[in-house]
Amino acid sequence: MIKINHFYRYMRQIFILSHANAVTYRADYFLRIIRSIFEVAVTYILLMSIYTHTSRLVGWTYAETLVLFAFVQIIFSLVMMWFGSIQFIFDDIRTGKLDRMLLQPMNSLFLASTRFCYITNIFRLLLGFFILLIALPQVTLTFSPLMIVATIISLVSAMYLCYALFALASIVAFWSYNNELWFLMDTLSSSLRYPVDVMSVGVRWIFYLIPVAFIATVPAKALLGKDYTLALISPLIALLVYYLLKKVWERGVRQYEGASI
Amino acid sequence: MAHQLRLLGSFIKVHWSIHTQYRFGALIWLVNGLILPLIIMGIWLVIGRDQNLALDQTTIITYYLLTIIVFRLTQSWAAEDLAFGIKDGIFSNFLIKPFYYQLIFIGKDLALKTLRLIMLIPVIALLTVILHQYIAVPLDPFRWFLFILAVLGGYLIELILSLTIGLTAFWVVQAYGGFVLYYLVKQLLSGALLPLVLMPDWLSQIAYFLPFQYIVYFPVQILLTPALTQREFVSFICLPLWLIILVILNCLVYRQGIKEYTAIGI
Repeated sequence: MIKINHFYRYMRQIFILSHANAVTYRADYFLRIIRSIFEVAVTYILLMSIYTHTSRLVGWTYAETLVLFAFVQIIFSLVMMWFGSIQFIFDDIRTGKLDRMLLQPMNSLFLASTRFCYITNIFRLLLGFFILLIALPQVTLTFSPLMIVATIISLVSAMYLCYALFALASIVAFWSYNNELWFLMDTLSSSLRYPVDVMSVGVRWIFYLIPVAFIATVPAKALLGKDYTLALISPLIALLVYYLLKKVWERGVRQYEGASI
Repeated sequence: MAHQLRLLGSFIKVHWSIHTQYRFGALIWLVNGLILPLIIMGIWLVIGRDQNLALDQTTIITYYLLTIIVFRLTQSWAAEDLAFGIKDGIFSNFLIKPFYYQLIFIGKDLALKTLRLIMLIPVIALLTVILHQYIAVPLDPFRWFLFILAVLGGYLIELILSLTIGLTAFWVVQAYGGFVLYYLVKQLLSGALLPLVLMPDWLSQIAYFLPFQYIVYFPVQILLTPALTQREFVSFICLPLWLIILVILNCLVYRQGIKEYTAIGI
């Protein structure tokens, strides 16, 4: 109970501080909101252009692809809002600021991931729910206990996976001192707005092996009743990647030299 | 002028030395640039198997392969660097030195581009070997000359737009939201994601009118069309006009912005 209270107080403080920071740069705050809307508009235009030429894309209708897109928006906005600050770990490693986090009486990986709350992601989240609201009445859902369980566990696993993969991409900075892998993950995440099935067999395998396909396509398939097997094994994949993240972090911290500023 | 060019040479050398240290980053940048165009190309090829599209399979593959190259050739990193320079006060250093501040960004662009394009050559060669029966580009030297001119024009448009976006940091201080928004607009309207002919009509009309098409679509189109049409000639006339308009806009933004600039002694 004390731990939960402690965690809640910490996250609340982070939110308050981040909000204060965001409103300091009002113009930037406003531009980020416009960017969120425009990001949705770009994908919407792309999907619209694609579906004016076909009614089904490898078995996915327009509305089903919108559900997939909504899932991407919801999962990424939640993860990036609370854990997005891990992307700047490369700078802390390079300048030695990581020392401070390692000395705090809290899990250092958690601290590095939650230093800042990206508040404008709330708009991305709302847009995600808005798209879902538009898309859901247009798809045929077959409710069953299996479908509900598979959707919920694959969504929760997707969030874990999303965080763990982005964090893994960031902490490579212990060895490379830059965050280019983060940008690679960011581009990969943009490609998740389209069903993985549309890709060639080789690319599809890579997407399942990395395993970014579990972030959006698998939960969307579970909700739409297209496939439950992958959804049911997704918690195992998420735990495996999270375990890998912890081990890589520990190894990185062991070899971190610091610069004592 | 000769002095400025000598300085530009020095900036290129400095940035070359800096960025050859981050070869892993360059490799990731390379892979990063391939993902989205290849996936969207794959989607159009899947649709093209069953439906009649405005572009055939060969044109789609050639378009996206050329897009990968042209997007990188015209890319500029100026917006982010300039905005951070203004926010952190580093911009003061540029104001007191005897050269145009733009030279630093051009130097970085040229060094980074050369270094990364060297890495791109084997990948493009490999893709060309794999997909050679689906690639069709003209061998006419005049067309290639026009292509180089169009790429140069595209880079200048991108550079001036980036610098102007970067200068907005004079007012907004934190300009991250601005240049991410600019990047999204550029991606859509330059034709990097979608050829203008496959866009909805209303959007392609907007894209044809705005300068973003010169960053990707126009240079690609020079090599892609079987014969140059009136549209390409009109675009060639409009390109310098857009450059003049954007330079004037950039100067106006700079003149107004510099009055707002404050930096604590560094």
